Amino acid sequence: MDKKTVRKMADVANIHIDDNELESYVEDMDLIMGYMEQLKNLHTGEAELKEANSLPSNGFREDFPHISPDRDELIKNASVTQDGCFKVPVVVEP
Amino acid sequence: MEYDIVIGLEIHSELKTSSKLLCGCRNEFGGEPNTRCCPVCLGMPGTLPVLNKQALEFAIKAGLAMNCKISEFSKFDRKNYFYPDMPKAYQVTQYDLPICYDGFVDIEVNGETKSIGIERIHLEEDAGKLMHDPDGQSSLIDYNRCGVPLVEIVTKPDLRSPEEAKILVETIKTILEYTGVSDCKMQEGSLRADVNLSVRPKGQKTLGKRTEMKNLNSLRAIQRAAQAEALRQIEVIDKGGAVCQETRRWDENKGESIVMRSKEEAMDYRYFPEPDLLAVEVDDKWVKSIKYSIPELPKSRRNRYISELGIPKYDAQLITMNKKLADIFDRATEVCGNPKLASNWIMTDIMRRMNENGEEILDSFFNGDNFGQALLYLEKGEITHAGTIKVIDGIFETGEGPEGIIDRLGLKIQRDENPIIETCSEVLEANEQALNDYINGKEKAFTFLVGKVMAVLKGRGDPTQVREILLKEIKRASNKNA
Amino acid sequence: MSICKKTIKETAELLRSKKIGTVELTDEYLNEIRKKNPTINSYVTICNEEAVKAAKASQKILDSGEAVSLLCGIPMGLKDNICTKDIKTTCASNMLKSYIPPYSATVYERLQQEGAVLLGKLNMDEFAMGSSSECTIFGPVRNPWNSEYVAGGSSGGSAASVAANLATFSLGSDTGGSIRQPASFCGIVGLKPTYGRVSRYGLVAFASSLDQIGPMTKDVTDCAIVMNVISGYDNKDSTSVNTSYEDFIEDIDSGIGRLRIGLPLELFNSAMDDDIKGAVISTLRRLESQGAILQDVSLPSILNSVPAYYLISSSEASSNLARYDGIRYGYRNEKAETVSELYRMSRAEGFGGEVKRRVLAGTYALSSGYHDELYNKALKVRTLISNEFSLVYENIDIIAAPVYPTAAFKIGEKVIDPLKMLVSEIFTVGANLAGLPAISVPCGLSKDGLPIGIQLIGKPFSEKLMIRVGYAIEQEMGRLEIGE
Repeated sequence: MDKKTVRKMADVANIHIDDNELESYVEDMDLIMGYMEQLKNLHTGEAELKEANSLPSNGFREDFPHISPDRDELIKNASVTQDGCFKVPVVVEP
Repeated sequence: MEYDIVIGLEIHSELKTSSKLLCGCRNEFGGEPNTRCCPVCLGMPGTLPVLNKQALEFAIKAGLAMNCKISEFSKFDRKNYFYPDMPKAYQVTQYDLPICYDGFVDIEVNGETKSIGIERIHLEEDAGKLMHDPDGQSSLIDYNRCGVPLVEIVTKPDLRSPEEAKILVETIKTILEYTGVSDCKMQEGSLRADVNLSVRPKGQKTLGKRTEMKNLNSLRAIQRAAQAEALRQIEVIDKGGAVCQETRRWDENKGESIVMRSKEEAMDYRYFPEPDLLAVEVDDKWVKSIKYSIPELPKSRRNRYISELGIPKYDAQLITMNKKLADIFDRATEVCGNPKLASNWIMTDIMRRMNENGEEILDSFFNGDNFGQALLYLEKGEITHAGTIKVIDGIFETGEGPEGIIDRLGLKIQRDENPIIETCSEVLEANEQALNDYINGKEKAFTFLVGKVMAVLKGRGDPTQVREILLKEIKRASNKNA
Repeated sequence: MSICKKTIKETAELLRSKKIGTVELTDEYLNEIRKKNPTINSYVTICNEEAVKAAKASQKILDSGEAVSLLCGIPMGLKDNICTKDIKTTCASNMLKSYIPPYSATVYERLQQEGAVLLGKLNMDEFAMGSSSECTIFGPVRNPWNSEYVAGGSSGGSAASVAANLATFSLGSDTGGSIRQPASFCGIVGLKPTYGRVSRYGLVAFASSLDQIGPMTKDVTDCAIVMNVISGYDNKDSTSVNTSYEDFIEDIDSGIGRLRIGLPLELFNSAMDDDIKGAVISTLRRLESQGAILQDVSLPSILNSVPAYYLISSSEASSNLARYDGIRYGYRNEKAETVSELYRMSRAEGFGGEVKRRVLAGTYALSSGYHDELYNKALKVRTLISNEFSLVYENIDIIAAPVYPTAAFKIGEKVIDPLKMLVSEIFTVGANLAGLPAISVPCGLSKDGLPIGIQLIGKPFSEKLMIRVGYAIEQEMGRLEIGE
């Protein structure tokens, strides 16, 4: 993994990386992904693309509404709120 | 050069369940911000989703009503992207194994039937809403809508004009309303469409580069945006340019669209199977039981109106486009026994009221029973046309039954001849000029005199009877004068 | 002997015979914590008042004389990624440093119903990513056997608290070995249940398809007691499985008979310290002498298990951890002027290095250019591993293997080499990928006098047998206890 790729992934994942830490991330990631990428050349034959947890299908909930918890309880962990809403810097539509 | 327009739509419609898709919070429009939320729909750490069975059944029902095949095996996936209205930073949706696929919907264009392919219908969750703080510096987030179940209906690129696009949305809206899976209240954003559009020189087989217009939430916007986009693309090509594959946003006020993001900026959603939900397996028995629960759909209802009730095709089409109206028509016909009378009144009086005051008026006191009763009084000759309008006015205003309104306003037709004769002679005395005009051959003067008599009788006179008596009185008056 | 050294079963008897009251017991533990925690660093939140309150309530239940749970009044600790209503749940991350959940995890609710007393929340690797409990904002957990050594991870605090007698039992979570490896390092019993056996509702997700909560206890009987309470279907977790109730204590001592034990060649041939191999083999020989049949088996794809595990767990983590954006909860960079900056800076400052590396790796493995050759390939390897286990289980009853190639290592020794730490997980990640139950039971000491565990991996939902075998090992090898 090179600098460009690490930068790009950090952008997609919305994690800021300082220029001075970039080098160490690139080094670690290159080492780790270099090892993990051994899978790329692995021949897996006809193996199915399924999740290995052999869970049953069809886990449902009946359509019964519950009483929503108190709003104050739900927003108490937010740093900034206003009028019962979560507040963020103005969102310009993409 | 002449061009073909090729349009495909992605229609999002909220489902009318009682609770949200993945948690038990109420699925209702509006409400105080963040009061229809819980740790699950707010994506708080450690919470897990559980699928609402009704939402799945509604999606299957919608699919069956649009002639889709139902997947025996489907699953949910995560669509990953950051946006403040999405608390988990991923949307639970269906990527490669949608619940419904390969269907079609018939639309009526200029009196002809055209079949539009449905590529797939899948189930997913809606996002919250952003509001702009008046200070202009910040946005406020309300997650009440977050987690409301949606179906996304993806059509094949079978539409050939903006009008067809509009008609398809209208038709699908009607189907969703008929099946009872959605309210399709476009003004509340519960039905929205993305328009994929390309143009190509007439006769060319391959498709041109397409653009995607996001989030159109009215029929008018869909048609206008498609129209404008087709013209824009044609202009680009005519000038020797090339259309870019991009996502655009329509500005309804300006009547134009701008680029949201180019192909290069296209988001990589990093889809992968949602590990917190189980796969869905639907067997024949289940599909059948859902199929049985689907009521008569607009197309067969329309055919029934035309062939069994003798309603004109155009009227049948218009009435069946609105399920509530069609239900009212059916009931009123049962009550008054005259389908043509009922359809005529709907096409004129009721449609006028809907145009003036909006479709919501159908949610008021007015219904098939009281409308049918009013028509029955008219049919039996007990009230006049004008009286019927007054009865319907009364129903919309107070919900009072026709009988009460007729009594209260004294709308019953005055059949007793004497008061009519009296009124006629009074009117003739008071309007000597008009009487003379008529005698001298001015036909219009007669209409004027009838109107005067009717006015004095306050609409209670039967027009035919009034005419007969008035004529007699004119004869008598002219004899007297002569 | 200090009361705090006793097992759940022993303590429950003392409570029932009124030799001690629950409040007194809780105070004993809180005292021990005050004394030892500054060194061990297993607790990151201590619930002094809440614990005493809960203890009082439990005493009432005990006094009522009704048939009560063995856990009534028993002091315990929970890994700090298990949500506890009104009690901070930090995941040892700056991101959630002051997060107070508005609801409790299902496992905590079940333990509360039984009358267990929560002493506090336990240190761990940030968001359960790591195997040494050094990647935490609270500083490393220290091994009670020797404080220069790590306690293992990511459930290091859960293991150390039980080993150091700061809790009668604890719960941990295991995504790739995070219960078994610290249990092995600290000389206690740790069980990762079959995927779906225990509700994950309220467990802060690392990798949803691999995570399971499990007990960490002083002995195998205690493990069974806790399993009896936390197991079972939960309608809040679609992936929890509705199996018929099993009593894990029943028949625990009925022996192993002619149990067929499979020894995966690929694991026994992997690099490991001699004393590890020695301890495991000699334990197995003892079982053999009791009648067990040892059989070599092959799980070829296990050699690819670490990359498959790393790619799948990181991919899921990149999605699971995307919700931490500073808006609704968690760390927020207050200076951000745009939403994008708010995301980027809050996440940069809220997450530690190991978390960021995994999020980047997962983002990469799922991105359009690599999705097929990394994420999908990993899923295929997962299928192969699962199929190979199924095949092997046609001829044997249970698999035995080491837990980790070494005993506990020194603090700071491996943090500089993240890859080496990952590669060592080859012994444990297979059970997670295949969703199988696995247990670590103490089986000896290393040349440095540090505990060694042996791992048993069972068929799906075979915890009962696994516990019975674990019990037989414990009877044979004895419990490991730290000398005064």
